[in-house]
Amino acid sequence: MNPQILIKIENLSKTFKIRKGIRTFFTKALREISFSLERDKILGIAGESGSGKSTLAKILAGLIPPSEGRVVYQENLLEKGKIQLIFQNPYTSLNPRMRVGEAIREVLYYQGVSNLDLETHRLFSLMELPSYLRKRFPSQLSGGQRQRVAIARALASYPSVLILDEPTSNLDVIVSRKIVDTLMRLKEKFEMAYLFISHDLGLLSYITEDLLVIYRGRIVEEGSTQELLSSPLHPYTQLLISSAKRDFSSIPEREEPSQRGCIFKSRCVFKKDICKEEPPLFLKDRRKIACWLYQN
Amino acid sequence: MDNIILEVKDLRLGFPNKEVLEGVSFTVREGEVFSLVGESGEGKTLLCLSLTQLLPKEAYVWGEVNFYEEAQKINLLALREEEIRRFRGSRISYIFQESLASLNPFLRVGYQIEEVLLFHKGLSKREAYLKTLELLEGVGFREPQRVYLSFPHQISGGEAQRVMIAMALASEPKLLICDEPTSNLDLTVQMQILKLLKDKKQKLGFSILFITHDLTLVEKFSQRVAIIHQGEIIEEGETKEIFDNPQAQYTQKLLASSFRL
Repeated sequence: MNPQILIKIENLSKTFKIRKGIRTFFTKALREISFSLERDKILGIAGESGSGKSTLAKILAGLIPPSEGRVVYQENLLEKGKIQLIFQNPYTSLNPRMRVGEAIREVLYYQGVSNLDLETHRLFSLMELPSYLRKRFPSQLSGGQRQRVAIARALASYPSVLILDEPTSNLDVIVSRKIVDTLMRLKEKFEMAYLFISHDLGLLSYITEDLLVIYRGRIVEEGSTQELLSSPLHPYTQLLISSAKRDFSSIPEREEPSQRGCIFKSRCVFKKDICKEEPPLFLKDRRKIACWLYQN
Repeated sequence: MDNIILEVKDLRLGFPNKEVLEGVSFTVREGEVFSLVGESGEGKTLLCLSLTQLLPKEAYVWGEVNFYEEAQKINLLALREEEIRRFRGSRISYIFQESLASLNPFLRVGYQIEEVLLFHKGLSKREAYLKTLELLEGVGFREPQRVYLSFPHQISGGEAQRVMIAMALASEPKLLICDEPTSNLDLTVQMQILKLLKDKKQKLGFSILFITHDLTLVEKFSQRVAIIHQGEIIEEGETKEIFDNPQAQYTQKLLASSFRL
């Protein structure tokens, strides 16, 4: 594999089985997703709830297996702790009965670090956390501090890839900005690649270089963040951006997503006959778009 | 446009062990959207609740909340419980963030809207039923019958918020208080709800007191805005002026910190 590529995903699909009473349903959370995460890059994934973005994060971290397709990792990523996950709610990822300093020491201990105190102290100062907070329990910290602790713990194993699943959506504007700025600084220092999952296009435009837009488990558009946001091609991306800009002139339709053919069909203003078929990803100006409008 | 509908004067509120708001004053004019912006824990929701005496008993509230109706000034804080009921959920309606939590899970959605009409409007059962269907249709449901018969758990978050709007508008309010009405919804659904609010406001001419932390939304949705920080309003004025030229240091920091497209 190309040494620049850290994680490569090929034709990944994930189907969940849902039992309702005696009946069993299958929902496709992800369908035929392919992309790769490159060294030192920040790749953004934008999508609304139910788009499958968190499922994707879990599959990449190896927490759940894909139903179809494969995930290929760069060899050194397979060592312990090289891929780390940060979730939206750090409360659920920190042990409520463990002092936060202890939580970090634990990781360092299993990494075989000799001077635990010094290293914990260093991680705390990296995350701009005052050292006395080490003795606190997660419940005694503010939301922003908890998220910083969660990031410090992730950094304790010197990861090469950080998967951030809506890391700041629970936080206030100013706190969230500070954490994002810290993350940007750390990326340089640790030479990490980030996979940044969010529904906040403003945030993604600020930090990511490349962007994937997913809708109902499918990639609908892929390209460089700047180009994608300044001239969106897929009708769904266009809708998402005008919504993020709070542009009231584009009235969003309220329709259920389509089951067959193009998933965005029923909400689309450019609907044609061909949309009954599922569109592949078309290539246009270094961008990939799953829309029949860009067939040639 | 310049008629004042609500005037909050030096409002202080808090709990025995904690002061939340330390003297807040602002006015909402007829037919406008007035936004209150602040971080979590600033007491925005408590402020909303205090306007119609909905705070828990242990909380204290000082100051004046004047509601203007037909050139009459009514201090809502001085009213007795029976009197405030003529305003709460009637001339002043609420929409909250957790719309599903505001609905009674044991009662059909339609019945809960009817209740408002029976209590505040004094309609007969039959009239209330027809009016409810009309209201549901008015908030964009194509099959009002289905929603009427649904229980809250059978509808989606966006649908629940539409139901809440129908319920809030059932009493033909003069002032609609929206406390983060869209923050739990998807972006595209948010826009549908906001568009609905905007259309309804234009048609029915009520005022909106809008609570949010979404600055892009404030900029596009409201005419005037007040920014709350540490229990006080630190800046208030026309939305455009404040966004173009923020005076307070905190406002500048807030605007600089927000990620906007």
